Amino acid sequence: MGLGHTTRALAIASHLTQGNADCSVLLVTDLPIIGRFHFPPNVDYVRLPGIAQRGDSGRAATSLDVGSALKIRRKIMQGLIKTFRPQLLVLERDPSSLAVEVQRVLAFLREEIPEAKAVWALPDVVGEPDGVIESWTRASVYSALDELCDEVWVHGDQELFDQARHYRLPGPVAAKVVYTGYLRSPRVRTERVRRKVPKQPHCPVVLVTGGGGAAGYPLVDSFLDFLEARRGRVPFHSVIVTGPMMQSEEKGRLKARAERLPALTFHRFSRHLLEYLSCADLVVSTGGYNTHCAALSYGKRALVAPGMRPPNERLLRGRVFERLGLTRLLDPDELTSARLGDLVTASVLNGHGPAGNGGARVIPMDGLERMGARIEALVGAPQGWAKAAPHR
Amino acid sequence: MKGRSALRIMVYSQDGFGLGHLRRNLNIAIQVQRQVPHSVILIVADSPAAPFFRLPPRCDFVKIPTLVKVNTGVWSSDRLRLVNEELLAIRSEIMEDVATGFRPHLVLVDHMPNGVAGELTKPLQTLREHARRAKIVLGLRDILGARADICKQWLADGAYEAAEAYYDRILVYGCAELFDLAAEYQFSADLVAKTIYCGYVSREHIPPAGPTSRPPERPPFVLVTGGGGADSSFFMDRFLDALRLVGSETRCRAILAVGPFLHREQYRLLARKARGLPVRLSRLGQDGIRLLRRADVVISMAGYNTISEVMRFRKKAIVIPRPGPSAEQTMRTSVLAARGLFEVIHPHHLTPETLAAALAERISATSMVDERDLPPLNGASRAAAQMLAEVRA
Repeated sequence: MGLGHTTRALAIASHLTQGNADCSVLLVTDLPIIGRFHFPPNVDYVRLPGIAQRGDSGRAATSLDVGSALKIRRKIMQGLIKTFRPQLLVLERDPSSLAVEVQRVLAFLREEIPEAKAVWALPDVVGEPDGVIESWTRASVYSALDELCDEVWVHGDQELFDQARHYRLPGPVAAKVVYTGYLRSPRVRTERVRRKVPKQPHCPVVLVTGGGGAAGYPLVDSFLDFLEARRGRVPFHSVIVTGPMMQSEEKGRLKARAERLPALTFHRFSRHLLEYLSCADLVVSTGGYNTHCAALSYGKRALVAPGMRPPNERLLRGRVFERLGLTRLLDPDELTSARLGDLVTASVLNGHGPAGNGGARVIPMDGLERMGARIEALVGAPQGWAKAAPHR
Repeated sequence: MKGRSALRIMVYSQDGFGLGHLRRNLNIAIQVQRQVPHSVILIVADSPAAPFFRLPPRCDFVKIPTLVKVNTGVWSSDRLRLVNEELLAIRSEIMEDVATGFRPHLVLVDHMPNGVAGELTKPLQTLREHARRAKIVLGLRDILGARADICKQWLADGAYEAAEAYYDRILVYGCAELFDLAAEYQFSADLVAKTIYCGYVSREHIPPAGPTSRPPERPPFVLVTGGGGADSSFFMDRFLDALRLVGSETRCRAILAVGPFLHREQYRLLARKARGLPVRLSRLGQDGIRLLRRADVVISMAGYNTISEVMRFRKKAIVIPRPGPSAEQTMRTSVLAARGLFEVIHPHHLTPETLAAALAERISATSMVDERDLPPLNGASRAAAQMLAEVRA
């Protein structure tokens, strides 16, 4: 699970337990920095040994060989099914990564607790259709969704991106898809971060976020190039959050440059990212799902620069939102410091570029509420959430 | 240990809310890896803040659902709406899964021979049945608590039987001349024979500070540290009062390392009270070893890790032991203060005046600790060496 998946899973858990004091949620993750998160009441977590993935350098180097890590993970997950006895299992992860692992867990759930429900949750856009179809076919994702899941939740909107059509879901799987809408970010108090940035509106705030951080280097690098070319003389205050999964060495280089510039706040990870998002005038990001949701929720102008070549889910998502006039997309080829600087300055000075405000009304943002209703339909009303009968 | 396969060590670190046990286990793990470079260490922890510390390479962790100690022998789920039996079953299951999946050559269990309420019994049995060559080692800090409390609890928990039945070795991270743990807690002859004292465990991988290079015009630096921070605000508060009392002849600047667990509201109160004083607040707490190395005077509670590091870095210290519920800290301070290793203020005598007087005295004191009075402080590397000797035996 990446940072984005974990953040979403926590948002769902938090929403579920808020409405119901008898509901316990156990989050199972391999995120190394999970201990840094704030957990809502009735939510605890189990952390599995990590698996380093190719091109995923931001993750802590894993200690175990992949074989024994996988074995321990499978045993723990099966053990959790036997002892925690969930009534509902929600999979908030990429279906084609470590597909065999998840599919075995799902099969085990079916066998051990036949009445338990399983749901696969997907972001609005998973990737370019050709790539997704190929990897889903190779990893038997279609048959897993068909045989092992009760529902497929898409945290998006069918009108914006029809996953069933684009990813050629077979009839029975397409029938299980529920478009939940996007996940509204919670209202946040901003006093704490406002102390760190100048008071608006005299000085606008530009937030640059690298999401999880693994792919954020080119964007932050270009942004710093621009500030350096202007010797920091720009008509706004910048907040840079690189993301915790950025390699230490890359972060170190960026931080050293950031420290020489005025009117700049720099973090690798901030627990207060949402607060920053909600008091920014412009959000510049690599276009991850959660950043999009926050920009929509808080009505922010958004500039998306995925900084990776296609095929790429962020590019596709960026295009979908650009067509709606909700965001400005900067193609990887366009990502130069001059171009980025022009767009940021124009947006800040003249209010150029799309504002999330107008669009937020047409985009459904009630994903959490709709998921709550689906869960009630699947496992019964909250009062009836007795634990599944003990085994043996 | 099999020929060429890497040495695998599993560590059980039960912390509940804090991080002290995890920190100590990590200090030992790092020394194991220094002695056997390709060893692989898997830590099973239950602190909600795990891992918190940066883990060395080839060291990973599993976090199990958290149980918090409510009182001696009384535990409760921190978050999940489950009864204790259910939560213990989950924890026990995960530990068994890790034991059978990881197939460790050695298991190090921290301070509870059969875990919380016997949760380790089944995993240990499984290990004994299926991995006969695996060595199982119990690690105990220098002092566990008052004799009556600990003996009663160990009897009730079946900890003595577990220690006899499952363990190859008991390592005490302390010094028998200071505190004979085996005698104090009435170990049987069998347990006494298994027990080895290793000395105090600290971050041996961090070199001790060189001679202080503070220029004479710079005021001395006082570090006030509260470990994890959950219950340290009372003496932080007194310290701020004390600082207003000390005369102008006692110049100093201070950092309050309040720790990650200090409640937000208490943090704000302290920050407000510190206004106008030469004091800065830091959330680093126990992990702020750079602060400790630089400090001229340390004011702290008497948690194991802090005391070990105060001794290792030869710091002039004022120690305020946590009064309860366990007698551990008062016992530790009385044993070590008898050797003149630091100044002690009992919490009942803690007033701004007593603290101010002690502070002025410590700042002006020039006498360094007499090396001969220090207990052995290479506990991490000795514990690591003992564990490796077990595996090779």
